[in-house]
Amino acid sequence: MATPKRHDVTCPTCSHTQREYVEATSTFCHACGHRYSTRKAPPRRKTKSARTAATLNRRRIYCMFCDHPMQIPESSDSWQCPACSEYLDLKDHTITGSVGRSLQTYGDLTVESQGFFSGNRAEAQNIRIAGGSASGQLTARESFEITRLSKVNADIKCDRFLVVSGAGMESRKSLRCHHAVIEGSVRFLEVTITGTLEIKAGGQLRTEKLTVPCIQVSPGGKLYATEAVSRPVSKSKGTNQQNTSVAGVSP
Amino acid sequence: MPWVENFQHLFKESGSEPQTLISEALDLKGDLFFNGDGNVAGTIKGSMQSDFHVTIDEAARINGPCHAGNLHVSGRIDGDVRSREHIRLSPAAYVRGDLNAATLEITPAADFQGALKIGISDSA
Repeated sequence: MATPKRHDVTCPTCSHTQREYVEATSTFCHACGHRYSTRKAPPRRKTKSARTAATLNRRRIYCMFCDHPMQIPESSDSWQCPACSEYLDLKDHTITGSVGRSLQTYGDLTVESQGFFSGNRAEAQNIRIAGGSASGQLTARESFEITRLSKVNADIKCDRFLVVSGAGMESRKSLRCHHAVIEGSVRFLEVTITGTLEIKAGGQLRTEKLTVPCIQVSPGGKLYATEAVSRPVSKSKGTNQQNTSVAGVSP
Repeated sequence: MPWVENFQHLFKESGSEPQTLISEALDLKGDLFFNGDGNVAGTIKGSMQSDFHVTIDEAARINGPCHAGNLHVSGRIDGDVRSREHIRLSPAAYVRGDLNAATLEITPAADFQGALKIGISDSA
């Protein structure tokens, strides 16, 4: 039978060292009689400066269900709202196949050329349509970008809408954003922009109804709107940003 | 805004007075056609046409269609506006009618309502 292992322990009162079994949790000092723990001390807590450094790598979000503000670590893949206990997805998603469920994330959403999103609703920080098709209601808290010819028949809501050169889509739904830059070809039933609409050379926008306070069509750009309204922005009604605000936007 | 600079060459001050000036005191009923740059500050009840650069001042009131090479609108137009090249609606502009041009610039405080046909082949 093996002899139990021993190790040296030191009395915290008189510094007397004696040998004790490793399994022992406490002992009496043979010199002064003081009783003390022989277990190693637990790891020290992080210093205040270390904890502050960890806090810096956080981002502020609002719960998409109850608007509760919270600070979350940037490296987290998911979180739980402390107010409503709802699960919050923080991951980036790339759709390369068929997805039929709704998707809500604080990460980015990309629909690749073979991707097909048919859920009722998708909400993400940034949405990029790189080919493929999407329908339903697509909400990007920041930018919505179309980088290739795509089949998108969806209500789109975002802060910044961008269609790159050579890309395009046709939708029988609406677009609502703060700022739009069109370098490709797009068609919507209705477009509401609270900031500026820019149509660059080679860009084309066709819509039945257009509401926008500021338009710039560069040479080579095309704009066709059956009914367009451009009115001064009323300060009493709030800023442009507020008009397109979506739930969960970080300030 | 940097994109505004793209069109500044169209409205660059030449230093010379425009060839045609419809003053604020003038109240014209009928169709107006002039061959050269123009500056309209008065009231026109009828159409206005020029193949050159026309500026519609803040005091101007035009009740009828306008057609020009380049058009810079600061006043009020009740009628369709057509330009061979560029239309710019300044902050004080008030337009009720369709816009048809090769390029367009509507500044944030302009007031416009109508159809838009910009950069489409038959705009020239």
